[in-house]
Order: sequence, then structure tokens, then C-alpha cells
Amino acid sequence: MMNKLKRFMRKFGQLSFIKRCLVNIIRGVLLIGLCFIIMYPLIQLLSLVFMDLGDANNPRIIWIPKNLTLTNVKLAMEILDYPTSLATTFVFSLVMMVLQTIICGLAGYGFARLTFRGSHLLFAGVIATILVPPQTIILPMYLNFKDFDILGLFQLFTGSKVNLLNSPWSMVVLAMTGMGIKSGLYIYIFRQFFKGLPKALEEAALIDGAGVVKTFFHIMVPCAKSPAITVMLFSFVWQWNDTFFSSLFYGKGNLLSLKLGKLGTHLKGAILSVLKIVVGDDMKVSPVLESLVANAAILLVVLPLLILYLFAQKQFVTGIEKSGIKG
Amino acid sequence: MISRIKALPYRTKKQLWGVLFVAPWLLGFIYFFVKPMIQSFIYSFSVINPSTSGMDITWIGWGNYGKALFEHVDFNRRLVESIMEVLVNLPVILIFSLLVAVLLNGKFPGRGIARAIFFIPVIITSGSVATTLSGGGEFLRGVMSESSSGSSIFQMSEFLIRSGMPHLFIDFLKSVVDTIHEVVSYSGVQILIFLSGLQAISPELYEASRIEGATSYEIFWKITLPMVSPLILTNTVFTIVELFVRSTVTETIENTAFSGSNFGLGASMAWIYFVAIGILLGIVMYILSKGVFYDE
Repeated sequence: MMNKLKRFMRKFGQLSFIKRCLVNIIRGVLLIGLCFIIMYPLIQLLSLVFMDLGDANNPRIIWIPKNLTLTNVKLAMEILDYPTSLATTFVFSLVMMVLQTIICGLAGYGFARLTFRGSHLLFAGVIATILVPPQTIILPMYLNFKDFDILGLFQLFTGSKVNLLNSPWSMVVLAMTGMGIKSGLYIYIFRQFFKGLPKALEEAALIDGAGVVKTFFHIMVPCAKSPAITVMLFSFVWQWNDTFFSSLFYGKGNLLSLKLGKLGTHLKGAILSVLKIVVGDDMKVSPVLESLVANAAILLVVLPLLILYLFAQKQFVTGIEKSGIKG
Repeated sequence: MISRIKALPYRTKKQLWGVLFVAPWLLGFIYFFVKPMIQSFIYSFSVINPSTSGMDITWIGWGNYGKALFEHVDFNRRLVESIMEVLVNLPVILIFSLLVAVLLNGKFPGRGIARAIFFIPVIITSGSVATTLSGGGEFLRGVMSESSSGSSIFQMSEFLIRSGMPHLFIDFLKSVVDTIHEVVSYSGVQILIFLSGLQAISPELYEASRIEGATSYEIFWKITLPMVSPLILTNTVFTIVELFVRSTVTETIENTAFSGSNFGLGASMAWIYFVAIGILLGIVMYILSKGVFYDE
């Protein structure tokens, strides 16, 4: 009976139509629901940013503020020293991104395709750098950077060791040697990608007379667009948001994340000191105002990333679509 | 010299280039990883006092480890808790992110927007923003609960209690609602990694199997899953590490080492913690690596 029914349904294409509708509905509900869960804090941020102090205290106003105001944003900008720190953070993150992508790409290819004796053991080292919590090695590293020297070279030429603490160079050196923020993960991503490429690609290049370097730059680099873009996005965003390494090695830097991190404890003082400049001190600093300003500050830090991501997203998707090896 | 290098067989040349490609990383690995590791290992067996000449390191043997495991107020409890959390959340996050990646990989209207949205947690929930949201944001939550007269979850549970639902069921519902948010915000990177893997599968494979009469269900198990299996490994590593880094254990270590300025004890905690992660990861990787398929 069931079989007959099925055959009948299939004959008229009913079953597949209903099934497709059902799948679409389920997918739609799932995606919209999940998107809402993700967007909720952002919507909350947006609604609070332009909210007037009076509105925030008014229990009848939940989402849409009655009186729009720029005071919160102005205060937050003043506290974060926004234009300067934005520029510094942007340039710094960009430099780190480029360095990390190049170094990790090279290492990833080396581990995946140019194996030499002991390279598997060294790759276990990469895994170890991912696994070891940075807390474990941070104090010895701190001391290393205080008296920085490579094989006694600096001492030989300048007579003393270099103090790299509180200079961007300590972070740059880390990125250049593949030990930056999450570098291990990036090497892993590149290696997994290169390992997944068919070996025939390389053999064909060899037969056509390309050496290792030529193969890498002419075949592998164009192929690796997708992991490269992934890694670039990650490294930019994580550098932008990082407080752990930055505060230890580059604590006096004009970085947005550091300034935001300090807000938690110094917010009230910062608002008081700024208030006199911007609007005069007729307002008192209430916890509600503090939270409104903290909100605006968070949005100011996140907004450039969101805008950048809006543009990078398209690049990113086409990047992954083109990179798959066809045929 | 150059001619002699040129005359080397391709195989040897490849190995030489391999060493060169890896060299920058190797330098950093030795100087910024192995060396600090050894130093911190020594610290974990010592008592460290700052002195005029720098550091005074006195060897005390296993004392720090004993203290960390048996005397510290909550280190061992937090360690066990975070291991349990990882074991529960790992499969949930992996399956969820693969499911979402497959969903996002399909063709439907508005998929560009949906993709853009799913990556947003990576930006928002990382680093300083998250800490400000959870630390300074306590005001924020206060404001929100003031202005919206109580969170909706609380209202829902109250409603359910009044309607006579069993408490156990309500607790379960609440925990599900709570973890959904956690799982979604933890899976951004994993979704992305899976998505890029799905994109790399050549459409010919799907076409061929469709012609052979495979159903979507079969295609998923026979093509999609094996092709993204190396990425399951990547994601497992990432998830485990990320969950551990976000766990309360790191906080304990940091507090002990820097705020409590007891670096010897902090170092020994970090080592215990590291060994725990290593063992857990080794077991999971061993189980998973049997199913991984490389296109070679």
C-alpha cells in the first residue's frame, strides 16, 4: 500500500516538491533564528549608543530611543583618543597580518610538501605552540624581551642588550619568526590545505621544468588564495582585539583594544576628566551613563572591523569559490 | 658552489628548500618557545623572589605541584570542570558548525547576508570587547533588565513553572537556551573553516554521483564528509584549545602568577594544565585520525 502510494506520489513529482518545501522552511527557520541569536547583542549595542540618559532611565523605552543624542559617542571618542588610536591600530594590525601570512604560508608549505628528515617532529612542535597556553611561557618571554639579543650580536655591536618592551618591535619580531598570536593555527591551516592539493599538480610542474621555488610562487600561491584570505582575516581581527600580548609587550601603545581593556576600571575617572571639555560638568556620572559610554566605546572599536568585514566578505567568498581546483 | 647546488637531485633540493621555508619559524620556535618553556619548567620547581640582581630562583622540587593539586582553593576543581566542559561541548560545536556550514553552502536567497552574519561572533566575542562586555557590561545588563523589566528567559521559566511543568524539564530547557548562544558564538571560526573546505570540493564529484543516482543523504556521507574530514581534525584542535583558553583555569593561573606574584606555583599549574590538554587532545586525535581522508 505504502509502496503504491510512494510510486504514485513520485509519478506526479509531489513527494519531491513537498520535501523540498519542507527542507526550505526548516532551513529558513534555523538560519533566521541563529542569525537573530548572533545579532542580538549588536542590535542592543546600536539601540543604546544613541540613547539619551533620560531614555535609558525610562522603563517604558526598551529598544527605540525617543531622544537621539551623540553625547555618548563623543565622550567615548574623547576617552579612546579615537582618531590617533584608530590609525595606529589599523597600521599595526595590517603589518602583523602581512608578516604572519607570509611566514606561516611558507612554513605551512614546507611542512606539507617539502618534507625533510625531522620535519614531522618539528610539525609536532607547531602543534605544541598551539597547545601550550601562553600563560606558561609569558614570564620567561617577558624577561627575554627586556634584555633582547640574538646570539650576542647586539651586545657585540652596540655594547648593550636591547630592551624591546613597550615597543612594537617585540610583537613584530614574534610575527616574523612565526610565534605571533595564533601563528601555530595559521601554519596548521596552510599545511592542511597544501596537503589536500593533489600531488599530480606538483609532478606536472616538475615535468614542465619548474623548480621548487617556481612551483611555489606560480602554482601554489595562486591556489592558496582561500587559506590565505582566511588567515589574513583571522590575523587582522585577532591582532585588533588582542589585549594579552599587547598589554605585556606593547603596553604603552596607542591601541584601541588596550584602551578599551582599561575602561573597565577607569571609566568613571575618564568620563569625569573628559566631561569638562565636551559638555561642561552639569551632568553627574551615574552607572547608567557609564554603561552607555562603555557601549559606545565597544561599538567604536568593533565598527571598523565590521565595515572592513563587509568588504572583505565578498572577496572572501569569491576567494574560496575560485580556489578549488577544477578538473 | 651554485653549480654544485644546481646539480643536486630534485629530491635533495626539495629537502633543502624545505629547511629554508621552515627556517624563520624554526628560529622563533627555538628562541621564543623552547627556551621559555625550559625556563618555565625550571620555574615550576622553584620559588622565585625578585632581588636586586633580577631573580632569585631556589629549587624546591615537587612542592609547587603538590600545592597546586592538593592545597590550592579551587585549581583542581576548575581543571576537572573545564575538562568536562570540553568533552561535552566539543562534539556539539563540531556537529553544529558542520551543519551550519552545509546549510550556508547551499544556494538560497540572502545567503551572502547569512554568511556575513555567522562570522560576526569571531569579531565580537574575542579579546577586549568580550571582557568589556562581561566586565564593564555588567552595568549594561543592569540597564537592560531595568528597562525591559526582566529578561525574557526568566519570564519564560516563571510562566512554565506556573503552568505546572516539572522543574527538571524547565532546567533542561533553560540550559539548552543558554548553551545555544554559547555554541553559536564559539563556532564562528569552525563554520568558516568547514565552509572553505566545502567550497574546495569540485562540483564534478557531486555531478557524477547524481548521475549515478545517489541521494543527497548518500552524497553527504560518501562525498562531503570524507572531503572535509581533514578539516574536522583542524577544527577539533582549534575547538579544544579555544575552549581551554577561555576556561576559568587560565584565569586562576594568571591570578596566581601575576597578581599573587607566585610565579613558581603559576608555572606548575600551567604545566599541569598543559599536560591535561595534551592527553585529551592526543586521545581525540588518535580516534579521529583513523577516519581522515587525504586526496593523495
